[in-house]
Amino acid sequence: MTLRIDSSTFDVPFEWYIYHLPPGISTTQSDFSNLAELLQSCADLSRIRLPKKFQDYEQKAITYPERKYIGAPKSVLECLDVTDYLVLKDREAAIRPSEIRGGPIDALIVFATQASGSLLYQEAFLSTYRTFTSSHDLLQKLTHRYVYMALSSEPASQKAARLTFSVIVRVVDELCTVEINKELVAIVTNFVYRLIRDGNFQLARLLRTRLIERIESSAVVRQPTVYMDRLKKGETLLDFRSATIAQQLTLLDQRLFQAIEPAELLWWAEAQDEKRCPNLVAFTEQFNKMSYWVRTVVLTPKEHKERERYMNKFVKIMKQLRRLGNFNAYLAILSALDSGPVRRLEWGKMATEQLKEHAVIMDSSGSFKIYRTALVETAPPCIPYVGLVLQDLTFVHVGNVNYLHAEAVKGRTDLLNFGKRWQQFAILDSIRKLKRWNYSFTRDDRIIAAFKCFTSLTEDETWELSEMIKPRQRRNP
Amino acid sequence: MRRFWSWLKINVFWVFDLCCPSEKSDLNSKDTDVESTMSAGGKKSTTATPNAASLVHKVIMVGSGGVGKSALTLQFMYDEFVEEYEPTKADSYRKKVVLDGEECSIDILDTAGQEDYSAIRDNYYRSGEGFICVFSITDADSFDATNEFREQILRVKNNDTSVPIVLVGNKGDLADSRVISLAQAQARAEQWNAHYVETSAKTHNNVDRVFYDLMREIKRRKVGFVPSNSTNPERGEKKKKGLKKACTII
Ligand SMILES: Nc1nc2c(ncn2[C@@H]2O[C@H](COP(=O)(O)OP(=O)(O)O)[C@@H](O)[C@H]2O)c(=O)[nH]1
Ligand SMILES: [Mg+2]
Repeated sequence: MTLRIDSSTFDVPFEWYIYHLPPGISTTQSDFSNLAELLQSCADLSRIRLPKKFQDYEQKAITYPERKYIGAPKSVLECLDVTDYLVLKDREAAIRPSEIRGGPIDALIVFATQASGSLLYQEAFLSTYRTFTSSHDLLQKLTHRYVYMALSSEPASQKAARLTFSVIVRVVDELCTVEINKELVAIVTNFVYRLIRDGNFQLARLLRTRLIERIESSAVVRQPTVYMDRLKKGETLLDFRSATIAQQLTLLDQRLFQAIEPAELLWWAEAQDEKRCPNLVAFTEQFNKMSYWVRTVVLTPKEHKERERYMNKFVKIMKQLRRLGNFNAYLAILSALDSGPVRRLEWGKMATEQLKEHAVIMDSSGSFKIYRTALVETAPPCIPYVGLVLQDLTFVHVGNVNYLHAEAVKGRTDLLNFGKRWQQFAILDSIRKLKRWNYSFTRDDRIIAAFKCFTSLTEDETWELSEMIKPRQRRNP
Repeated sequence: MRRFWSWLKINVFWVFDLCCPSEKSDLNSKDTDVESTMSAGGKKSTTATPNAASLVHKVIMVGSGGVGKSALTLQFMYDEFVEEYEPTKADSYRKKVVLDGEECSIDILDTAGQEDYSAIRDNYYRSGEGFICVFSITDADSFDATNEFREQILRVKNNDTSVPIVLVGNKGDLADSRVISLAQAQARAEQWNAHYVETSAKTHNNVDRVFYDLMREIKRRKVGFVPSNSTNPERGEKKKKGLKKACTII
C-alpha cells in the first residue's frame, strides 16, 4: 500500500489542461472507484501530525500585490509550499491526499494548486470548498495568488502561477447558476483585464470564453411542455408497452437529474434553502408529482376492473424501471402503489405479492442497507434516489465538526476539519460519476403526452377517493 | 503530450492503490446479524421464541424542522464525543442496548434532508414500530404541528391509537424562552395516551429516557402479548384478518 511517489509526477499537465479540452466540459474526470477505504483512513484523529507552522489569525484585505511587495512578509496565499501549515495523518509514506486531515482555509486553498498536492485532493477541494468559503472569495484569493506568482520570473513561481490559473479555470467552469452575480463576474473580468495588461492574451481570452460559456449555459432546466393532441383519441397509458413507458419516464428524470449541480446537494444539507437549489427542488418535485399522479391514475376509474388494470400496469412499469436502474422513478411508483390509500384496497394476488417483494427496498434498517446494496450492484447508467443522498449529506454535516477540536490541535481553532470534506466528497463523487452516464432512448412525445403532465389529486383527495371506494372501518368502537 | 500520459498512468495506479475493491465485501460482512433479522421480514415464526438479542426496535423521529430531532438522535447514538460520524455505514443509526436486563437493538430513522420527499413519508412511517414526536418548548408552531404528525402516523397505522408514541419537548435548557408550559404539553400527551418527556439535546438531559421509554413500550407490544386482533398493531399479513373481525363487530 505504500507506493512512494516523487512529487514531481503529480504535476498537472498545464498545457493539456488548457488547450486540449473541449470548452465547457469540466476538466479532470479521473475515477476514484472506491472511496470507502479512503474514508476509513480519515477516521481516527489519534495519529495526526500537527502543522509545523501556524497562520496568523488576522486576515489582510486582499489586493493585487505590487512588484515591490516581493520580499515583504508572505501571506499563506503567497507561499510556494503550504504543506507545513496542514494537519496530516501521521505516516511515513509520501504525502497522499487522504492524509490531509485539516488546516487553515487559505492553506487548503493553496494546496489545491500545488504540484505536490494531488488530483484526488484537488477534486475533493473543488467539490466541497463551498462548505467553508464562497466561490467569490475563492476566486479572489486564487487571482491574488496568480498575480503574485506571475510577478517573479523564477521557474517555481511561474509554475505555481500556471497551476493556480488552471484551478481558476476549473472554478469558473463549475460555477453554479446562483453564484454568478455582478460581484463575481467583476472579479473574473478584472483579472482578465490584468492578464491583458500583462500581455497574456491567450490566457485572458481563454478565461473570458469560459466565463461567458458558463453564464450562457446556466439556465435552470424545466420540464418540457407537452402537447396533449399528440395522443390519439381514446389512447391511454394502457395502450403502450410498459418498457417504453419506463424509458420515457427515465428520459424525463434524466434531464432533471443531470441538471442538479453537486453544490446544490451540499447547500441543501446545510440550510435547505430552495432558492439556492432550484434544480434539486425541481427533481424532488418531480418525484412527488409522479408518485401522486400514479395514485390518482390508479384510484380514479369508477370500475374496479379498470383500477386493477392500472395497478397491474404500474407494477410492470415499476419493474422495468428497476431493470433500467432508475431508482428515482422506481421508488416514486413503489411509494404510490404501497401508499395508504392504494394498498388498503383489494388487489389481485400477483400485484400484492410483487409489491410486497419490492417494498423491502424502502426499509430504512441498517441505514437503508437493502437499497444501498441494490444501488451498488446496479450497472450504470442509473438514477439514484436522491433523498437518501440528502440524508447522508445532512448527517455528515450535523454529525461532524467544521473545525478540528481545539484539544486535538494544540488549542488552535482555525483548522478546518477536512475529514468531513472527504466524506462529503465521497458522496458527491458517486453522484458525479452517475451523471456521466446517459440513457440513449429516443424521446417519444406521444407517450409523454399520456402522462398528462403528471396532473394529480392532492394526498388528502386520494384518501377521500380511497375511502369512497372502500369505506373506512372503525377500529375501536 | 507525452508528459500527460505518464502523469495519467501514475495517477491511475496510485488511485488503484488507494481504492482497493473492498467495498462490496465490506458491505456484506458487517452486521450479519442485522441481515438475518431483516431477511426474516418481521416474521417472528422463524425464530420460535422471540430472541431478545435479535430484536430490533424500529423508531422514527418526527416533528417540525429545527426542533432537535437530529441532535437527539446523535446524542443518543453517541453519548460520548465522536470524532467522525459516517452515516452511510450500516450501524450508524443502530445501537445495541440492554433493556431491563435483556439485550436488543434500536434502529432509528430520522429522515433529515429528505423531508421534501413527501410522497415516500408514509412508507417510512408504516415501518416504524414506535415514534418520537418532537417539538421545541421555545416554538409554539412546532407544538401545534405535533398533532398533525400524530394524525399522519395514525392514518398510516390504520387508526391504531395504541401505536407507541412519546411526546418530547426538546430544548429544555432554554427555559427562559419557554413558550409551551409543562401543563400544556402534559395535557396533550394525556389526550394521546402517551408519555411526555422534556429533554435537552444540549445538556443530554433525559435523552436516554425518551428512547428507553419508547423501546419498553414497543417491546411490550411485540413480545408481551400474544398477537390478537385487538391489541396487535396491523403488520403485514395479519392486517386483513384483523380488519375483517373488526368489521363483523360493527
Ligand atoms: N439549546 C438547544 N439547542 C438545541 C437543542 N437541540 C437542538 N438544538 C439546536 O437546534 C438546531 C436544530 O437542531 P436539529 O437537530 O438539526 O433539528 P431537526 O431539524 O429537528 O433535526 C441546531 O442548531 C441544534 O444545535 C437543545 O436541546 N438545546
Ligand atoms: Mg434534522
